[in-house]
Amino acid sequence: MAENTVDRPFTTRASPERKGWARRFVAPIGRALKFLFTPRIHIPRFVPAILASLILLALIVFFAPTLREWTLAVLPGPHHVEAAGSKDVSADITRLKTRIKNLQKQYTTLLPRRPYLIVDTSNNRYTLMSGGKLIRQGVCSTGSYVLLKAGDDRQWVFKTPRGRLFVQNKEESPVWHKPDWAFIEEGLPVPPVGAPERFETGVLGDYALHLGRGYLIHGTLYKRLLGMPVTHGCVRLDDPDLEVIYKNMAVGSAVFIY
Amino acid sequence: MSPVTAKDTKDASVREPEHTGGRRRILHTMGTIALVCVAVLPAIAALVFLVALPSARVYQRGQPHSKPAVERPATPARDSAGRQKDQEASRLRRDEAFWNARLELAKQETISLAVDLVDSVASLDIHGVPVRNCRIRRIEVSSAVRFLQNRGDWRGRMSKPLVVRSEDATIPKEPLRVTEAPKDTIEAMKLAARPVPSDSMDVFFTLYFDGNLSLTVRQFEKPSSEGSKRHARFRFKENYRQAKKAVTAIVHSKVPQHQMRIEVAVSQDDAKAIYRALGPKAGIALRL
Repeated sequence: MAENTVDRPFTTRASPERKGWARRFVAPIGRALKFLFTPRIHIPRFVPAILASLILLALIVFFAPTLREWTLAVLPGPHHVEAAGSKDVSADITRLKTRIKNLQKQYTTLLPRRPYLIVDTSNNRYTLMSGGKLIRQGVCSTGSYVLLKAGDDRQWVFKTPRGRLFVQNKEESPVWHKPDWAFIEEGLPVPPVGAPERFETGVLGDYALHLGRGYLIHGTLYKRLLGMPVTHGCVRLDDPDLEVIYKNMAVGSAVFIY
Repeated sequence: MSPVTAKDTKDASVREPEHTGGRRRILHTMGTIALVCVAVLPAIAALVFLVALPSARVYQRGQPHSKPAVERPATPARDSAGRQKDQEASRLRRDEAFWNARLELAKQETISLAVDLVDSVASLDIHGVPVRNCRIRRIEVSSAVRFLQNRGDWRGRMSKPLVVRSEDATIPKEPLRVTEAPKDTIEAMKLAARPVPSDSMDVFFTLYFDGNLSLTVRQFEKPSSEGSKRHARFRFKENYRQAKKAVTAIVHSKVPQHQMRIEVAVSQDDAKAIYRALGPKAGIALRL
């Protein structure tokens, strides 16, 4: 083992024990790497080159949008802004500001004058508004998105319709006129139209607002399910919420459902 | 003839490899250089056709025309103030375009979306009534937009609603659950007792419009591990779609168009509500 000298004082750092320790751990790793990367068959030079080329090409094609973004980010932006149509830019600015104010005013006139209801079917919440101000908000239940398939090629999708609807009719102590699917989903035989089994009282709460095409805003006996998408398309509310909505909204009031 | 000695033989054998080795080395080097050039050539071609040319096209479109529309005296003070006024006028024209588009959407029956990147608000509107205001937490706009946003034709485009041509998302548009009608009341009771499935999924979606413009809405909250994988697959699909479009353009001897991307981040609830509310061919008003 070489010893440190005055000319080469740092030739040897490790003690014999430490060198043996390094040989024990590093040498096997080196041997394994050598084994893995030593080719055993003759591969022509052009093969790895073509492979590398193809990989590079694929990467460029795949990341081309990102590369373009970087290129455009580096390039200097346009130095000009399109000049005004007339020589007097201040007049243009004033005209534009007036025009924008008129457009915004036109937009605000689209708000309903009467109280209106907004129903969020994604999060099962409702908001009652009047003149742009909040009156009340809370939880509701909307369509379950269940596709019920009856054996005879009939099927129903239970979802709440979206868009702008209007209150067609208001009713106190509503009676439910049960459609066919109400019997099919309970495994019961479907009675004829007008049969007494078709009418059920007390399940729709104290009030109902008709939105057309059989959809209602009504109360519910299943209050623990409020806030979940469990209905057959109607909007279910808790009793206090339903009462406030019933009293604030008239026939013709708008209901916005999204 | 003098006998060949061992020394001569030895000298010859020592001399011979040097000549052959030198020439071989030169040929080997030249071959390697040629191989590298050939290997790099497709990559260079790809960079030119897929990156440089489309970027140059966008850059060129954003440059001023040869002569300004209105001549103004070129004094330094006037230039600075005049430039500021021009910029303000340009900003106001973009705002005017946005409100025009929004009013046009108010006349339609569909649910529409107004994305205001200046005030960082995305608003779902039905017939001009804002039903949901969503705060935009993060905005990323493609570099190409800054080249084009002051052009008259861009403003003209923004003054009409953008119509969604196609979309892609990590959540279903309608989370339908198929149920077979029960045979009897016992089976019906079992069905009724099934728990309501949770609808909390990580939300990322992209809306594609004409003219290579797209709007990506993502949730601001950190996704779950499953959501991250879904998002990675979503991104991969998007990149793959772009790559395919670019290669198709090159095959048809056209310069690929650069996809201008606008990405916004809102809360998960907002993102889900926006995606599920927008119907097919929904209209979007955009304010940059």
